Amino acid sequence: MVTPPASRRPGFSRRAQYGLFAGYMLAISGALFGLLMVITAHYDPDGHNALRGVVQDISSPVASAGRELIGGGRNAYEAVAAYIDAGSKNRAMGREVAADRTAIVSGRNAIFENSRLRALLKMEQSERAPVVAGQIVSSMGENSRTFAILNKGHLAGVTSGEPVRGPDGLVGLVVQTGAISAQVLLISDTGAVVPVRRASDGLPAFSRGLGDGRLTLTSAVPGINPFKVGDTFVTSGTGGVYAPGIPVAIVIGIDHDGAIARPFADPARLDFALVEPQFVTAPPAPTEIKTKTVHHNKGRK
Amino acid sequence: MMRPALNLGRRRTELMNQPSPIKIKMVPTLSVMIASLSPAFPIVINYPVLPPLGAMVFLGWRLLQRHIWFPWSGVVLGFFNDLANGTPGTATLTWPMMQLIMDLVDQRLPWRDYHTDWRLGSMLITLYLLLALTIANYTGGRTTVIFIMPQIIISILLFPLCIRVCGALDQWRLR
Repeated sequence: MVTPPASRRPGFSRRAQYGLFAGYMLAISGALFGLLMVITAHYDPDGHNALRGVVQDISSPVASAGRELIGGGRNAYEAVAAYIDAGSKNRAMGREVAADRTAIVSGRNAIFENSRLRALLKMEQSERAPVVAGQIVSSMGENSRTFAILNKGHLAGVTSGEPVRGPDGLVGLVVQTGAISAQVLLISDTGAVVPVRRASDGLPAFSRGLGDGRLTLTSAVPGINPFKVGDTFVTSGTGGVYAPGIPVAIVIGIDHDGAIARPFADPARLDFALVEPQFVTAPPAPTEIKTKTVHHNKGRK
Repeated sequence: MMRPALNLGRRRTELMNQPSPIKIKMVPTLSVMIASLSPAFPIVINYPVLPPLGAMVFLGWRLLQRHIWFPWSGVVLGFFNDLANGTPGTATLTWPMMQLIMDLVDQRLPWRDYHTDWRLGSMLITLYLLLALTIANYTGGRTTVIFIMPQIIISILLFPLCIRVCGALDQWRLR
């Protein structure tokens, strides 16, 4: 074995030395460019989205194709697994049916109440058509932020800021679009805050990702911890973006200052995801402000 | 006695075949780029467990062959990794830093064996993940270190395999 050369010393050639020096200068300025990108991302999170979309458009068709294969495999596995735990599942379902009966009664009541209130408000609840139906094909599992990739981009009319929902519940928010793919910030991301309310009594709360796929719920009302295990939460529509009434999560544990919840929509088993138009709340009616008119006369006192 | 004519023929072409310079140059770069494209894998995970494959392959090559990268290679490949993984400049910033650290390490530890490489790689990847977490939190996230511990452990355990794969690719490209 030969002793490895100590470093990149190119010898006595000036030309080679300058070349190496230029290489290192490039490396350092490149690293500084990276730092600059980090800092701009801090102040403008949507800044370099146009660039990012390009690489994403390359990878998303590959993921789409692979997704088809994996989907088939998982269905077979689930069919087998369903037989194995059929007995315990039967008992659990029996309990669930009993619980659901009471839920249906309160649900009917809610529907009645809802229609009455709506009539009262003369609110036109038009069914908002989704922008497009797509599929969550992959995710960025290396990144501590939880981004998923949707296989529809701005060519299909998807734009940044639109909420994405699956058949089970809220999935996330489109944060960036390529031509044929879009990046979705999942609700389980630690930076994603969703205003929610308890489905049963409308208790307002905020949901935020915990970092491991679960959510933390924080009550918007000060006081004792109001959460109970099994509480279900839906979007409240407060502040726009997410339309009200989309299922978000079910409480699975109580924390010292809130609750831990599991999202209803499991992005790993999403067949389809609907991109919905951004929910816009009507601005409050303008209040009349009476001001004294002041005349400015220059040079006179 | 039969002469092994076919065999001789193959041996001659083996001797005459030089590995193509394009293959020699492009295999390391392409392997890092492909490893960076983990979002092309059709799996959806909503918590960080995938090891940073791009960074690991990049570092794996560097540990095997000290002159494999230009000083600025980390910038270009890191930039690609950032674009693929939705990170805001993390790899662009850290990969050239990893290269500089490795240059310093080369001066201190010119002789390294498998265990030294593993330890070194583990330390650098752990540092990389912690810095990536810091940057992710600076740019909008709020993840605590506990939740990336599984990712760190998986990365450390997978690192020898990563070096193996780089080694196999290295042999293939020089064949």
